[in-house]
Amino acid sequence: MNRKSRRHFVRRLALATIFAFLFQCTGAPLANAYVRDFTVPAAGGCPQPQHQNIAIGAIPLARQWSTSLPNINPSSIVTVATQGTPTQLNEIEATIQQAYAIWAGVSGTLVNASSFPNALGPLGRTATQNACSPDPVNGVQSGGDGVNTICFNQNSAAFTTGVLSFTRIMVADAPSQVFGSAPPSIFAGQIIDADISFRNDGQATFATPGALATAPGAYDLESLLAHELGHVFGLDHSAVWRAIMFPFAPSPGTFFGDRPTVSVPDAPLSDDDRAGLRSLYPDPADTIDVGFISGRILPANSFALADFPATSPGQYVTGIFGAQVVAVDAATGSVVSATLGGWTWTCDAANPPPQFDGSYTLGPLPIGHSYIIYAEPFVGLVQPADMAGAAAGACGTGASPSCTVAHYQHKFRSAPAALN
Amino acid sequence: MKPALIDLTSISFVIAFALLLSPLAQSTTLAPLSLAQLTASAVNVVHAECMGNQAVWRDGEIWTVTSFRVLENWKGNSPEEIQVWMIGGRAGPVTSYVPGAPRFRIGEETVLFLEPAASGSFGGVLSITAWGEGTFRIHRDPRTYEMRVTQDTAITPNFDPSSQTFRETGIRNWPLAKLKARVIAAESSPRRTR
Repeated sequence: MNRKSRRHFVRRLALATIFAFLFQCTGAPLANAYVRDFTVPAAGGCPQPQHQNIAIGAIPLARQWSTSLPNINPSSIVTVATQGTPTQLNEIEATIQQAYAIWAGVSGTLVNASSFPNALGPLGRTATQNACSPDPVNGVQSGGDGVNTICFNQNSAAFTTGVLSFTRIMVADAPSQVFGSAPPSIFAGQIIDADISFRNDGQATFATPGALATAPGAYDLESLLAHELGHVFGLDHSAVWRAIMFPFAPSPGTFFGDRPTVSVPDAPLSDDDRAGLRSLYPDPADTIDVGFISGRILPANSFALADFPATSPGQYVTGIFGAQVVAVDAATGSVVSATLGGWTWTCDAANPPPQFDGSYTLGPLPIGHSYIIYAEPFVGLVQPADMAGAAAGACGTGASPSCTVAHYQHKFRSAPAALN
Repeated sequence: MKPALIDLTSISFVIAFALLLSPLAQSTTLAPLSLAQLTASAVNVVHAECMGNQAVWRDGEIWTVTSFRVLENWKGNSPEEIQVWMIGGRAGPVTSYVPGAPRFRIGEETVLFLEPAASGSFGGVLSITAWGEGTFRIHRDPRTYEMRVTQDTAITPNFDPSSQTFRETGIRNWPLAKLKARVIAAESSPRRTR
């Protein structure tokens, strides 16, 4: 390896001095594993993770799909069964059920079909074409029917070039909110209605697993459905290649990961995907996926931060702010969890404002394993002005003292780091 | 640690990178497009400054309409002020969130690849080609003050489990002038420019 490539390798592989501590928690699991989306409650207070009302004793998740298919030839939905037949609908429905089963196969979650067989309601059908628009009620645009719907023939101007599918989520920011015909919300951050739309203009085709081999120009319907269902459950995109939540579709004719099997129903997912779902819907009875790794990313030269201004009176930047941090299982080499770290904030009036100390937390992770930690900075595009919302959220919602978000840092040297 | 504190602490990462950096979030399920493909698909490519946002209902959906002041046309002839429509937004008590739909801050400068929305009552309004792939955020190098751009879909470094390394996807931290030159070259000779 020459000097240039070695330098490149070192920079890419790992950076900074990472002090990490492996916690094998036995209490209530933390929820820092993945990129989730949050809602600031209307009444103020701490941002809440967006997720479905999936809980022990809650009503099953309402779901359906629209049997209206694009009326184009050739069809944008490629199946083994003949187009326009009931058998074709059954084949598409089986693919949808399989995509749901992928997520329902994740152990240690309240979505898990084995532990909680009633978490998901029956998959219904509707013949309505544009069933994925928030429905107007009494002539008023209101925001959803409370049924998570999948549409293959939704007319939407959102489909610009390159967009294959998307998920639109209606979120409550307070309890007892009523959107359309959906039941009132239970909590702030609740996903009231999440609908998936697939491109229907023929610029892209989607094939069921059985038909994919004969349609090399088509995208794998099961992979895209599984990705979009991750959004339905509240996950955002992953920066880990091969994660189902990676934002780019697999190439036409190919699919993500492995196909699900009876013994491994969640095979297409990466461990990072699983960690994300566990963070949103943790099974309180789970005793395996309850570990967390916390640490700080520090510059090799501690004087590198000396010139950074105070973020609030008496509070200084003491660590690297803005990096992608990844935990890899030392035995298997698989990515177990990833997060974006660089600061801590307790969202509590009794605590100080955000600390830009380079902190990160990864998890929930299986306990009893050894992990290698990698980190990589963002490019220098996040400026204090970009973080105005952050300051407002972090300093305003928790009645914390005012603060200024730290300068984003990306010019730091790296050194490989590992921990066991 | 007290359980309540644990739960609150967990929010830190939200703030940092989901809620706070949500304007920088990556796109929804996309087909990867090269710069040449983006340029060919776009009717207009502009360097523009965000002037404001407004949420509206249309065809049963909430849309965020962002007004931009065009600073420079790289492709096409956009008027001095344009409006760009992206699905999702907040209208009254209703929040419609679409993962990956780009959002913009007032005063923010971007390079946008734009095309007219094709469907129904949207005929003629502008939207962003391939969402985050067609959105390039402009920032200044803190040392040289040079204007640089990064594609929305390339903001976070991606980790490749097979090589155990971080890999770059898309366009990250390019000089603005370089992107402009590539776009113009792609427009004049799309087959030779990647």
